[in-house]
Amino acid sequence: MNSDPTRGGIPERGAEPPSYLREGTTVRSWLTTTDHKRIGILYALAITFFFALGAVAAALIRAELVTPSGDFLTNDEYNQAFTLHGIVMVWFFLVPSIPATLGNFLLPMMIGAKDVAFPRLNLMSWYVFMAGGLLALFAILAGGVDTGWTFYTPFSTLYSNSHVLLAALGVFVVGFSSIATGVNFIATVHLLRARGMTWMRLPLFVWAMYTTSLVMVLATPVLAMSLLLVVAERAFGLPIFDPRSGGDPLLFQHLFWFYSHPAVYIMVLPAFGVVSEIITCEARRRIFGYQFMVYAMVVIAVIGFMVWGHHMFVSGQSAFASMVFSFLSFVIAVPSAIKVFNWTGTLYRGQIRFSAPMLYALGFIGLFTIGGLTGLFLASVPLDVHLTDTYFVVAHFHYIMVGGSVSAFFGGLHFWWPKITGRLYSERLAQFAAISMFFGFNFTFFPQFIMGTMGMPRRYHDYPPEFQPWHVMSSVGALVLGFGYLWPIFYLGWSLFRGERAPANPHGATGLEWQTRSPPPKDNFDRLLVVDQEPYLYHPKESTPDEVEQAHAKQKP
Amino acid sequence: MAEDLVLHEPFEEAARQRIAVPFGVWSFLATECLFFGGILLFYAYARWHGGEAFTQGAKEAAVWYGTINTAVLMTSSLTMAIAERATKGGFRVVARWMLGGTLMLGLSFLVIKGFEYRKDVHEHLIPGPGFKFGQGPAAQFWAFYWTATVTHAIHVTIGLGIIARLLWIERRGDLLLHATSAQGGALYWHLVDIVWVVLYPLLYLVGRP
Amino acid sequence: MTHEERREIVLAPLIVWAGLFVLLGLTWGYAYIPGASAKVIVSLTIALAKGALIVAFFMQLRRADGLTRLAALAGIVWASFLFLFTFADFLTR
Ligand SMILES: [Cu+2]
Repeated sequence: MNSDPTRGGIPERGAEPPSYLREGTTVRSWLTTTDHKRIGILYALAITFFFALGAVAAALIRAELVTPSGDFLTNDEYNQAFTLHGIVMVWFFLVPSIPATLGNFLLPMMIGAKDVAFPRLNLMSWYVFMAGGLLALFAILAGGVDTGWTFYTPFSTLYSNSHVLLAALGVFVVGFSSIATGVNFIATVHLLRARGMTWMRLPLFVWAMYTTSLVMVLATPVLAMSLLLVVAERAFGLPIFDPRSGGDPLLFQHLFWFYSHPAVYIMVLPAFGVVSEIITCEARRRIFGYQFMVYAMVVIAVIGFMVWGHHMFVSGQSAFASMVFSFLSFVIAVPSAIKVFNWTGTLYRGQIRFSAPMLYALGFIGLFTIGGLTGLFLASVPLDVHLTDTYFVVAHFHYIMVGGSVSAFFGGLHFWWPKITGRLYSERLAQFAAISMFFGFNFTFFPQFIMGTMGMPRRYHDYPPEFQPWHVMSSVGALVLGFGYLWPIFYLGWSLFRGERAPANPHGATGLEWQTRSPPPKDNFDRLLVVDQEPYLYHPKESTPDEVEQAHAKQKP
Repeated sequence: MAEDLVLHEPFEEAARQRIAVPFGVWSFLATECLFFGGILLFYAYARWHGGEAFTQGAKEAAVWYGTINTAVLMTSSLTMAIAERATKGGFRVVARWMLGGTLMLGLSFLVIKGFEYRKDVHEHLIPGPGFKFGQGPAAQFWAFYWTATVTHAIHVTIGLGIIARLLWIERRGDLLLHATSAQGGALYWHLVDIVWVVLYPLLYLVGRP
Repeated sequence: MTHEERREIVLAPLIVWAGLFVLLGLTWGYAYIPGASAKVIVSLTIALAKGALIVAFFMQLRRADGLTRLAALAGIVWASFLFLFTFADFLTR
């Protein structure tokens, strides 16, 4: 299966076999498509735009923070910049990033289906996404929002003079596209698996999409309601969280974090899936402890709903509740640690290729581990009292969401690029991008842990001069990181037009998506698929000694 | 039973496609449960925290309008249930009349609600300047009242849109082939009914007599 | 329409509908009994009973496959997380 007959045998142009890209090339054919692969690409274009927008805001923030005094942006402009950065990056980039692009493209192919269960709903979800995006854009153009991405009341409802309503509506609307994608994926995995594709034969990426979808479907409606209540209070003066009528602003925080903590898992579960696919293929190993990987994701998706109060330790939440939330936050670290352990176990005695996707995936493991461990600091109440609202928190969640999810997204993008576009990219240039992203990321965010513990608060652009060296380091790192993001545009863009044609299975991977042409035909497969083996059979079961043959090894004391 | 279902693209077997729509709609209804769960949490907090003052505000709700509307909506659920079963059984005429009946009952619900809103406005029951009770838990009750009922009314309106579409499909003559659409629409309509059934005691039966 | 079909399509829903009206009368009546105890609990229980009737019979969850039931159940279970943990805070302040 690894030796591919088409490798190198494809003529340049002309005799190109039909693919999903050839089924109509007009703009109209793209905007009315119900092909999951094309919808994935529509999403990719949209989120690339929003990623750029969020990155510009980040650049403004880092530029402002080079000097201790606020000389580049005014107070209001700074507030708007970090709010814009947060809202755009969370809801318009990170949440849809892997599921809506790679997920849309790959999920049906990985289970041997022609499409998702509800193709028209899938297209609709993209339009809903764009509508929400336009509302948010409009809020930015109209003058911005200054509440932070969290929309905390009573500031957002009673005091802020910025365009909270528009932004909240934008996020409200975009939530429905998440829900639609989630429902679609869940139904797809349940109903459209190919013959023989049992639950325990699903690639971990499919499990990741499935658990992510569960979280999307069950968390997003509560966000919708909390924003609706903000709109009701702000636009119509209905006293909901207003303390003067007996309301409790903490009620808003409970509702908001009921979504927004699980949202972290919406961002990071897909990354788990991508990394599992890359590591197995590039280490030529079966995944270590497949079932534990599956259960870990399911447990994370469920317990993830019961830890949200760790965002509220200093808010006036009861000590009892803080204790419960703190305990559960420690509990959820266990399945995450199992995953890191199992990826490492997969590498053991593997034949590792340090290709670009693999570099991204290895970077993910390191950064996610740091992000996860610092999360434990914040889950412990006494430490959190010291660290709340400092740069330590900022660094922590960027390690998870940027170091983790974005690394994985780039890794997945490179890994499946030949399948999606039918072209190869320059491995050397891509490795360079992966490495600069890793170093740029650490230069940017590691100093923030240190300033955080020293007491540098987040969301201030005017700070005591002793923090300046750390901020300068961070801003310089952001330049490197920015390069790491921009560089792929050049070689991937070049590959799109001039790249060598990709064979069906350039990495010699085992997934079903590699058993069809690159780029795939409109119906994904030319023949009906029957699955008769577990995933990741990169080496025959009996080929290695027992102690390496981890999954089936006898336990030795 | 009509077995000749239109097979849509990704599905290769009718049996799976037949599960798909109810499963998809039920998943969506689960999200609705959490959506309304959010506002019910606000109600639970306000009622628990507001105590007697909250009840005082709730006494102003127009119980007659509420009760009649509950009856109307429950009856519309009946006609919808019959319409859905008739579609599945292949009885076009029954299905058409029952869908029409559901549409009419749904519209009546909105009209009655409109009259109730007019009465509420006349009695200064909108929190804000000129509100009957001033700031306090009573205002919270009315904040809940307006947010919840308007959100529900929007759901009713969407439901009416779905029913209108089903009627249009019926006019075109192929409702029987769209039995799964009818089923999905019916599920949604029943959910809208359930939401109202839950809101009814919370809005209208607090602190009676 | 055969006798069998009439029972299935018209009569069964009608019985459920009648049940709903009886429950509506009950909940309305109980709320007006002066000094009756546990009014909140009774009215909510009746609302849940009505909801259960609609879910089981009108929406035919009684006959649905396990998968669909699971989807329906998930909404309730997850909403209970929301209530449970939020009130774990409110009730222990
Ligand atoms: Cu959290």
